Amino acid sequence: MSTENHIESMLRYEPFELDADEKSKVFGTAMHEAFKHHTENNELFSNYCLNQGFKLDKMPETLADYPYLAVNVFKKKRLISVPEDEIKTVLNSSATTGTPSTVVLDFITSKRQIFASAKVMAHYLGNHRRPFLILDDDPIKSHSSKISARGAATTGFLMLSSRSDYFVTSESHQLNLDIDKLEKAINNYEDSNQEICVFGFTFILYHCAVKALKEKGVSFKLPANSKIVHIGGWKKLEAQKVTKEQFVRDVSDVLGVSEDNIFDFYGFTEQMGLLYVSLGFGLKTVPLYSEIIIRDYQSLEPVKDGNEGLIQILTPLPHSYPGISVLTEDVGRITGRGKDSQGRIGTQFEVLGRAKKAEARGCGDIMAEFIA
Amino acid sequence: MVIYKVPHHNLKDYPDSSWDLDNRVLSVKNGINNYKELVSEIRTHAVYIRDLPIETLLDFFDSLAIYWLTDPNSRFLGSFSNLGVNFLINFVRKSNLTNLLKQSLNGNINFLDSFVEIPELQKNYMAHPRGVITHWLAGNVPVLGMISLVQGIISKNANVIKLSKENGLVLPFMASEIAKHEFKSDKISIKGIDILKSCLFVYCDKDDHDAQNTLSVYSDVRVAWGGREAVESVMSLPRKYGTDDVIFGPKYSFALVGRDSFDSSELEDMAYRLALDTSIFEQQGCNSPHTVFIEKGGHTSPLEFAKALEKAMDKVLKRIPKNPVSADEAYNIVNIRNEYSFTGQVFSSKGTEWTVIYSEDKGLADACYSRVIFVRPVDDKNEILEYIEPKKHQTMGICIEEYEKLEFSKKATQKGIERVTELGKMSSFDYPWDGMFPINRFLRWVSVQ
Repeated sequence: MSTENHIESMLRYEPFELDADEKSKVFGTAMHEAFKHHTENNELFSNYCLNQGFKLDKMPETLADYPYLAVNVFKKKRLISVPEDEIKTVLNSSATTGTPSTVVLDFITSKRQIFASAKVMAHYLGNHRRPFLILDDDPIKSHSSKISARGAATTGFLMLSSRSDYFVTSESHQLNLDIDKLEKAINNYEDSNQEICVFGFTFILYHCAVKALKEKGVSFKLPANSKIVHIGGWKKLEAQKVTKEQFVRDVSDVLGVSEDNIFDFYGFTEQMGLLYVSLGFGLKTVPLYSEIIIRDYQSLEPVKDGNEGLIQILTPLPHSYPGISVLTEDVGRITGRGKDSQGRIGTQFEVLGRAKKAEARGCGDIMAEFIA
Repeated sequence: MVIYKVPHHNLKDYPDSSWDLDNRVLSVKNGINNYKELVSEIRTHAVYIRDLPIETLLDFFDSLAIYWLTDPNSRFLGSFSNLGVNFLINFVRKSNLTNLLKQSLNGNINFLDSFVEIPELQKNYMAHPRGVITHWLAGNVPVLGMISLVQGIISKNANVIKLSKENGLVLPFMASEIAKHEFKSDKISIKGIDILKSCLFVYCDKDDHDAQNTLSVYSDVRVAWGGREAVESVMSLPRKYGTDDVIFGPKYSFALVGRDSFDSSELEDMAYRLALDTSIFEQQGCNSPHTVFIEKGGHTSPLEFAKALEKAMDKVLKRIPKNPVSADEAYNIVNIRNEYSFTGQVFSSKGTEWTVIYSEDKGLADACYSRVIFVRPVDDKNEILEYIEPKKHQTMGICIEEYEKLEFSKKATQKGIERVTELGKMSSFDYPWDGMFPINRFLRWVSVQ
């Protein structure tokens, strides 16, 4: 079996179908293969592991034993685990200040990311296509191999779209909602009773659309099964004292969808393709393709479930760069294991906020900096 | 003005939140009512300390230090063990305060009590308190607030302490320990509460411009501790004519170990001293070292020194337990360890307690705080002179051969260093500090011919 096979075998499973024991075998084997690949093909990473006291001839026994990279390392180092000519895309994260994270993607990594994200999206949203109403600026089509994480994230979701229309325009860093255009489009879909998806970055969706519509006293009743999908950070909304409860309530009231049809997608550039979704006020469940560990601030050991700490996420998906075990700047806690309230199997968690005070990240947060 | 509760605080860190400050903690919002009367009141009470002989006032603080150290009923050591309390106790000892006063008062502390004749000048001199000192404190090292306040008291001034949001309650709580103390000698009895009557603790939001302006315009001396933004904010407040400013802004400190400047047998001791400097105050002090330069070519290589420092940091951790770190600090520690694991060597505790980072990088490393020390080799110690900038760098801990010390220190201080100490003494508070003798700035000199 080749290096990729265990990882690709894992991707054949549905994201929430394996119980803990089964996942342990499938995911554990895939992680071993990924670790072996990166230590054998990435000198910087193998030196890093040695400097951290790992023995490369011995596989980590538990997930907690894998060395982890802080996400900021991807700002400082160009980490590459395949020959340079295999790199197809360079992905840059958004960053308010300083250098963005850079991850290099080869065909294998891209394929795995698309596969994993498609499975998770299909699980939550259904795998049929429907019109997407995007509450963002229409990105300039670029053939450059360098793309922004925000553009990549939006593009990723469009695999579920039958057509896509943009309703926000950007001028001098000001984002403006075209309310007339939006009203007309929604009315058309209401008339034809066609399911749609309204998509946007959390802050932009709320600040430019929902809040603006609410203030004007405009509300809609989207066709049955229509969904609201939002991604990006909460930091800017938190700064404006908008709670998650208020966000969900206002979105539900203004767009006329049930709370369970409001989907909050969490993910980050350094492990693009992995999506963690919560519905309404619900929690996020980790799919088969990754696992979460919460680390204590003092001991850096995994904390007991329920306690808060730094979020570490492991996944065997990255092939061209060693982002298989990443310590994020986010603080969270594990709220449960096994089946969640909807029957999905996986570790359930919530993101409580950001650890790092100095820099706001997350696409929505970055856009918020422009328009605030 | 009977308001005990400060709205933002970290009281949960303390086992007992009760205190007795005779209602001297004032929390305000949107300006301060009756501030003129309040200031007048503390000025009046300051007459009490003005009339105390300075020797007696110093005896009071000395007896307080002894009480804190020896009395089983004192909660002080237990309550503040991780906040530099030992440092504070040593600071208020009579020998130390006398030393600081002498340095500020031309060698004679009696200038504070009455006119003293200088025969060769045919004049009598005396140092009067300036009046009301307002101290804007930083929250990072609460014990420095006490250092600031004690200097204000022994210079016989009335003191207003603008508390910080972070650790806002620590200082009133520490001060309440002074309030409870009583000193008796054959001649006199001093109650701490009478001394504290000349002090007022105020909390207001940094954006409460009315309150901040009021504090400023009633000050005779404005003392500002903290980051650049914080001290500049204080300096921009209106003030009355003649008000003096004493600024303790952000500073970076570092150490230097010269080639063959100690015997091989002393390596452990040298590393331990530096580890102490690095661990006290969790490197939050402007005198805390963040980088140590090791001159190459001696019997101890820079890497060997880093390894010795690794052992020493662990040893000091047992003596000075680590303050819990926040999520932000924990992430920064992991991040810096990760970053240097690619290009250098990282020695660290398993958790976030301490980190020694060896790398061949040039220059001063960015401070990470939380007991993270960078070890960097240099071919020649004179290289580091290029890195020194005025107003940015404060203390340089050195271990170099005795014959070179003064000449090298002269060059370093010309570049901007304000203090040169031995390793292990960087963290002490002594004079001059940030280029001045602070108590002298709290006094008004007068003469009679």
